[in-house]
Amino acid sequence: MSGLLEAKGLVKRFGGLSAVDDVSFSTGEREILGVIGPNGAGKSTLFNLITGTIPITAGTVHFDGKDITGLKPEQVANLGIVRTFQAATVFTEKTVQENIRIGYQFNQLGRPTSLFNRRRVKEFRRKAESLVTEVLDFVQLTSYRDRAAGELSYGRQKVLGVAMALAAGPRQLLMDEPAAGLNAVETERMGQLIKLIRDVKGIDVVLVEHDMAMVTSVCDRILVIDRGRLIAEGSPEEIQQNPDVIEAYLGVDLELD
Amino acid sequence: MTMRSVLLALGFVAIVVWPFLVDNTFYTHIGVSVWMFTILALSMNLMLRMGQLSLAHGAIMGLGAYTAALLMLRLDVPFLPAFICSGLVGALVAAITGPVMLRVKGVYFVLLTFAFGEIIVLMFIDWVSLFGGHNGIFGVPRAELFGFVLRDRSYSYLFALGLAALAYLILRWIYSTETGAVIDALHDDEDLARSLGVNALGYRIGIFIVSGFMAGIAGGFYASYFTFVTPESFTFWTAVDALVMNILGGIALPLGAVIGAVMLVPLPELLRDSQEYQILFYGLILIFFLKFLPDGVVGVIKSLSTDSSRSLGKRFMKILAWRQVK
Ligand SMILES: Nc1ncnc2c1ncn2[C@@H]1O[C@H](COP(=O)(O)OP(=O)(O)OP(=O)(O)O)[C@@H](O)[C@H]1O
Ligand SMILES: [Mg+2]
Repeated sequence: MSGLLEAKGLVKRFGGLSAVDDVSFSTGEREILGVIGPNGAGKSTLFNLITGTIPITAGTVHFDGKDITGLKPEQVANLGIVRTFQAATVFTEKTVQENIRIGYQFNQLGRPTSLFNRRRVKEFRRKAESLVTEVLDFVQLTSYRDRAAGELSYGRQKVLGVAMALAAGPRQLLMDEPAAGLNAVETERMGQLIKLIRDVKGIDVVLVEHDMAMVTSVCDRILVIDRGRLIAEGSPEEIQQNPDVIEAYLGVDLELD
Repeated sequence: MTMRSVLLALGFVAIVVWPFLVDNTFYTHIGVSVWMFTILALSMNLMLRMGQLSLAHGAIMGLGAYTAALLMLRLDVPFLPAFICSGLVGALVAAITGPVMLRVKGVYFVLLTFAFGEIIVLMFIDWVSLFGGHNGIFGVPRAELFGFVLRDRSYSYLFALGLAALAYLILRWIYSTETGAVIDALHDDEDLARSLGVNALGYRIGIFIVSGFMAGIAGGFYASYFTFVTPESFTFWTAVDALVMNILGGIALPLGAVIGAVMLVPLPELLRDSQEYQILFYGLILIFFLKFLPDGVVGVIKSLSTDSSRSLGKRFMKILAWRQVK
């Protein structure tokens, strides 16, 4: 039942500020784990620590039993942890299908030396086409196949960001506010997509989100972070009734944040 | 055959037979310089495409030039191996300095490469016993290919043209392969690229090595064509020239570097009598292009041939953004 990712005593200090302060958690197999908390709580920083985007002050990260503390982002990605970003991040000048192909390529041919492995390059090229088609279909962007990514609506760009991450073949997906900036309908669809990613693709997901309705409907378990500290953990129902959580969110409009 | 392909074919033939067409050593010499600097401009294009403006490329070209000169003069190495070594030295310098220099970006990389390039030039000047100081090295043998010495300028022209064409095709090929997608991604959003699994530093080093090889080759050609090598030909101004060629032509396509060289290289030769105005002229052209044609000539051609041209000049403006931001 236990999942792949395990963080122990993670700490990140920016000068005097403890953005992440002694956070420990582990994921479950086939679990969608939610991470919530007010603005500036340290959620994105937590992802940055796991993926090696910024150096860790203290603590360790293990993935599939392997110590990955201090690895570089691309090494973490090559092991199977792929993240999406809070803002829509796609290569705007490339087409939708090129973006997805890039996601696959960057995972398969991430090291420059892999280009000298002709067999590997050939295999990549042979498989790329069908993978792109399959991912496009999965995220329902097939009709936008040849459009420049920059021309898509913000909501579709965020879906494309998820599609690129999927093309990279993750075992563990870290999604940073996939619904931020989306309207109600798009948020609903994003929630469905995240469930499908777990149910159909069998990928574990850690989901940072502000939208409480989405978090409670999608997540199996939720962590609450406030000012860098883990203050609560439990099922969506437990979290909604937890006095500490209500306290931390006092005066904060969860729905509209 | 369409009108367009007829014109292209005519242009191609004109370029090849240029020296025999003009039958004038001065114009032939300008042609040789154009294709020699095209190689350097193309090597700079690789750097610019991945978002790193190097001011060391003049010095790397210089290292190539001194390598070829010293190997042929001091060690009696034949032209072809010496020439190839000039490229290898350029690649080697990139391979050694890349892992350090490519860790920084924007204005810091520009300054670092500037400092590195000037140190190399100081080395040419101060290490008199090896590099000959300000006087440089004279009497470098002419290029010799398979027993045939390129004594005639027209043949040097064809050699330079061949090298430039080869460099151009290599760049076209690189940009069309998976590496091209990485280069663009490194420029557009490195964090995203890395989060998907790209070893950004590794690719940057690889591209710098290819670029360094090409700059070294340009230098190797220089040594044998002019038959002398002096340090002041390889200061950061040479890198700036290569940069300006890319701006004028447009960095979105390798063709831009070629067009830029064709536009810029003849200028100092033609304006020889009015040197003081040369820099002013440079400045005015540069301001005009940056302000009105940020995508260079290639951008103009593109916007004429397609209705929805996405601004590739943004790419360049981003490189220069440090001037406003930092
Ligand atoms: N690179 C950095 N340097 C200094 N301080 C930082 C840096 N990154 C984040 N912080 C600070 O760390 C704290 C946590 O930021 P973080 O972005 O992780 O919050 P968050 O929970 O993702 O917030 P949001 O919901 O707004 O996305 C904030 O106070 C932020 O200002
Ligand atoms: Mg955040």
